[in-house]
Amino acid sequence: MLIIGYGNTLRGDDGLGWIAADSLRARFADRRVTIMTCQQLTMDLSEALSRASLAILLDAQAGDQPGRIARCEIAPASVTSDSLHHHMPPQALLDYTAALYGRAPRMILLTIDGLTYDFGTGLSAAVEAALPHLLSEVEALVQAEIA
Amino acid sequence: MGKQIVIDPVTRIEGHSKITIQLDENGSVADAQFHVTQYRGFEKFIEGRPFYEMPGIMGRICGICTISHSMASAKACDQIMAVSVPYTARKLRRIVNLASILQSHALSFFYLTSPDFLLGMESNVRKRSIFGLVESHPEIARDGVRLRRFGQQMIEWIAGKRLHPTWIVPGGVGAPLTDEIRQRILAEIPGIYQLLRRNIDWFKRAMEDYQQEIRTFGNFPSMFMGLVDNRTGGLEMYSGILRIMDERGNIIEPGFKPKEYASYIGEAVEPWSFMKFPYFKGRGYPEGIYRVGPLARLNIVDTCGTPRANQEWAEFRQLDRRVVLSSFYFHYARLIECVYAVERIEQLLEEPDILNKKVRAIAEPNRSEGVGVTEAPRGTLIHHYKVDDQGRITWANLIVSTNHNNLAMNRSVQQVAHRYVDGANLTEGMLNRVEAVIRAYDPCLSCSTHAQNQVAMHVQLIGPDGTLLDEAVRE
Repeated sequence: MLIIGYGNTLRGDDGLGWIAADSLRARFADRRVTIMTCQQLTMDLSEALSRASLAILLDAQAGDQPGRIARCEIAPASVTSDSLHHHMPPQALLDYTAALYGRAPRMILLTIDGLTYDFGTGLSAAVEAALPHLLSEVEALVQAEIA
Repeated sequence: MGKQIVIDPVTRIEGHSKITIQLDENGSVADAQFHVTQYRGFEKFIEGRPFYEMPGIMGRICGICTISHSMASAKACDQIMAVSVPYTARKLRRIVNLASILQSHALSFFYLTSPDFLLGMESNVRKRSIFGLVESHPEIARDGVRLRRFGQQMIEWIAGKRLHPTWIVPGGVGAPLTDEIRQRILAEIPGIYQLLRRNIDWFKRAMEDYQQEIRTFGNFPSMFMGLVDNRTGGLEMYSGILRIMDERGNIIEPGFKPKEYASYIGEAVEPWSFMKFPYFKGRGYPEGIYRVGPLARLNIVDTCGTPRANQEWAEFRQLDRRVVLSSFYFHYARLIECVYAVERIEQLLEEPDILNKKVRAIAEPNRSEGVGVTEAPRGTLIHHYKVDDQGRITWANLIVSTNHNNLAMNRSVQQVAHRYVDGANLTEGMLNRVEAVIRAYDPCLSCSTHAQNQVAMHVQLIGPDGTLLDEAVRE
């Protein structure tokens, strides 16, 4: 299993993915769970993804209900050359993984609606309050996968 | 005035630029220029900041060359502090610098350039990218992903983060290496050697199909410059002396100290680009044209210093009688440097003191000036700072790898445009070749755009038919 927290730790709630991933490291000493952090999704991640049965992505998202947790099962999207820009959607990453390695994991994206993306470290109160629930959801997914 | 062709933006490079090709009345190429259209003001806005902040700030110049800038910056700061960096810290800096070169060369060769060779210069532009390779050559795309990941992973393991780590500090590094990380890296190296072997093999075969490009892609006389080991004349990416070779393979400057760079290198500006034009002062501007980077490094050295790279380097040197002039061979040189980087990393990781805990010297500013020079993936990188009594930056000058190649890139664009572009029968493939010669240099433009204040600007308003409608000149 692979957990990837991503975002920008210097832009307020966008650092959620990193903070969540760091919190999970202590909970999952299990060698079957690998936890990674990165600024953004890139093709380099496909190698690790190809070895995972389940991938959980953790990110903040722009939304109108700060603190709301959303869960989305990702399906691969077709490969396009547009993804060489500085943004790669999870769907494309999953698709590249399947194309490159012949297999791709089940992928779940967990997000929390952010309140602020201004310069600065730390989460807003709304996102901070939602974080334990997000971590519990990740734990439940991992336990279900192990079972 | 004839028509003008504008390629904007130039694709599959780092940063933003355009190429203009001027046609004469008959539709033939009259002139061509490579313009850097973005601007960054790092040299100016760091004034007043404490010198010890520089490695952290300067690393932010770029997301690809972040290690290179932090490294050159830290070396300049080492001089300002007048300290001797602990041996182990120097070795760890070398490893991370080589890891950075490895990931950057992987990006350039596999992600940005290899689609031209594997899919063809004239192939469908919508497929001519790494994503096209995923479909057509997944095994090579996988190798590219793996090699870049390996370089990035080493940086993360040793320095804490893949992007903008704060581990490179004045006086050394922020933390020692652990044996666990050392073992993890060593375990991956045998597979990386195999990866590089099979990719060098296919590329050497592919080069046979690109003889015309080899003859015309930046194939002209120029000087070459780079660091060499001051004892052996060998390939050196972190320290050493600067050597300059002429277009006939004669060493015209056997080795000057990096801090003396300003005695040898001048910087010219042109009104149509934000990037400066460095030149060798001994020949003046623009006759003092020289190239840096993988092609230059493999030309100027007496040895690579590692067995696998040396074996490949011997073949490289057979490509031309005294000096390899075609910029097409930057790609081949890049792969050889990848082999060198992996071998050196392995050697350094096996050294007995590599796990030592003393990795940082601490001191106040003891000198008013410091110059830091390293070899970045794209060539020689120079950071030069002056500080006041409190260690605040009062002046800074950066000569970035891509800057050094500016004159050569412009000459290359002219050469390729003359050879391939037919204004009366324009094809996308023709223009791709003009872009491809720029890609050979792997320019990193966000790093290299530094001209400010002294830059005159020349703005032209061109009508849809290519005629000049208006122009403004700022002297």
